[in-house]
Amino acid sequence: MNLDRLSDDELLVLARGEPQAFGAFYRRHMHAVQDYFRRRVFDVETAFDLTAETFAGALRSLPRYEPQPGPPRAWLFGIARNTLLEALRRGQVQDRARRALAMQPIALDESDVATLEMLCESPALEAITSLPDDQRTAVLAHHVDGDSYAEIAKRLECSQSVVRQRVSRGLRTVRTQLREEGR
Amino acid sequence: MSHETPLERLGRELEAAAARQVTSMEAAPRRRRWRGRTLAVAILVVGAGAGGASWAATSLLSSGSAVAFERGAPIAGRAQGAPIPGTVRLLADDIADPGGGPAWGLRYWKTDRKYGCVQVGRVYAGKLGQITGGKVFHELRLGVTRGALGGCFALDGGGHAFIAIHTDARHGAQPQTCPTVFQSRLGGPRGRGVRCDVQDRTVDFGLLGPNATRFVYRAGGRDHTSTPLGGVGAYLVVQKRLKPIVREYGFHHRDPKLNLHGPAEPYIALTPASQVVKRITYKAGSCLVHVTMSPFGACNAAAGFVPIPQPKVSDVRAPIRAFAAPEGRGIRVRFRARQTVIDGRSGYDIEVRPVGSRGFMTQTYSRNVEAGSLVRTTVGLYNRRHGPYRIIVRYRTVRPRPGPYSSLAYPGLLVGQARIDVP
Repeated sequence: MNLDRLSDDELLVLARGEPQAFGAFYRRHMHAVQDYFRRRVFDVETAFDLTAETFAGALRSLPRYEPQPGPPRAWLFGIARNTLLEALRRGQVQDRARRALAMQPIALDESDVATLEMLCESPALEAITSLPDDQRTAVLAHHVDGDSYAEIAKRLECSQSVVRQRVSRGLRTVRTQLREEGR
Repeated sequence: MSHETPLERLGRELEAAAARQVTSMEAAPRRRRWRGRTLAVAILVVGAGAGGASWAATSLLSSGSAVAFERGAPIAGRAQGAPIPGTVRLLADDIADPGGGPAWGLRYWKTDRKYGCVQVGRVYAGKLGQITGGKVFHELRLGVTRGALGGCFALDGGGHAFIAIHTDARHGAQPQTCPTVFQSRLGGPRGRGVRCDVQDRTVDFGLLGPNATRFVYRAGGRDHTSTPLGGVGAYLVVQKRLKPIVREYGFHHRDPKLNLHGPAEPYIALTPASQVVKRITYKAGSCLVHVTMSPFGACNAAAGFVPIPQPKVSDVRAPIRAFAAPEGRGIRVRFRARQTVIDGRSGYDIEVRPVGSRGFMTQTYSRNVEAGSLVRTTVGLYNRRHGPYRIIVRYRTVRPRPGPYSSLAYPGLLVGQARIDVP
């Protein structure tokens, strides 16, 4: 099954029995969540810590998740907001969800921090995550992962011209959005 | 991709955790039968987890002392007055810093002495403040405008403040402590040594007035369009420190190295005049901003500043009494005010001149005064000079278009004079 073609709601429902679906949901929103925290805390390590706890919290809440009228992204950012508020109240990032899931800590070295800094510097990434699924997948695959049009077309089971069109439309939308936001 | 980023590693961990969760959910009905034993295992696992490596290795900003009121907390009816409840608004709280971290924000309020005030700082946990050492957050309490990016500015005749500030600052939102043109080590406030070259942000903020509908600013080498905020035209632009525009002043020497150089952009003006804000669209038309040292800025004509109404001043003359304060602490001045002072647009000035000397000092009695009330104040004599002094009291008001500082127009109306010998 091509998970990239599924909507967020479908991914979250599927993720109850299919771990890869949650992975796909994570990859779709990881940059946006990391960027959300990066704008609110002072260093990139703390932002990463909060991102990890947010997705762990989302994973723990998954059995209780019901599709809402609003987008699942709002559900995810609600968890992110609560995670941040709790961390601010306690003065430290909590790790309750990650402990409950028995997740291993990820130690960050200097090159990791530099990578995260670089990833967070691009406001375009946030704009890309808000694109429609087909355009987002195509733009990320071509411009972030560096895949060729042929590879993407093969993976998405469509023609190269369709991929080119999606990338082009996606970039145009991102450009317009950034211009409107004055970034 | 050979190198796995931290976010990718986290994704792998999450997928593994999701797989464990799926397995445990599928095993859930069986677990019920073995509840007692599973509970014991669970306690052991949690215990081991608590003693093992912790995820939460990073801490957030810690709270330091709040930024001090350098001249005391605002008092209603005095100086620039106290904030009026209901006018206090955090108009911006999401202006990204070029280096990341908490966003920048701008707070606006009006005071009971007809000033519009702004405060700019970093936003953390819903509060405005400054960050020192990258880790300590110092709250900017309402009313702190000294030692902070901000200030209070007289409202125009329509009840709106106009101001445009272009300044360097530190990334923690501390204002610059020395002029941009001098890159030397100088003493900072309260004796703290501050290096002038640590300013790493250029901050443009202010109030464009209620008629501004849009403005274009330049940041990161590109033009951006934005909308002024809060119905008062508030704007805030934060970017990495810009090289200041410098121009030659005074004579032009044969050796260009000997020419005097200084800033070409004003730190403060009534309307924008710096290299950052490029164009402002007002309801009546648009204004192209050019760099000018005029205190009124580049868009004074288009901004829609409503002239400040002049108070009706009748007779202000009154007898002045003056006598030396004990232990040479100064000169006490007494007079009965015939003209009321209800806000910062007018005030009584007490001028002290040593007879036979050119020097003089002026103290503005900057608080509200009812007509007929007794004004009592002490003017300090910092030079402790003995001998005769002349005391001149004036009633002064702001001009209809006073500029960014809104100072009271000189010389004003003479209230009276007195003469005193300080023993």
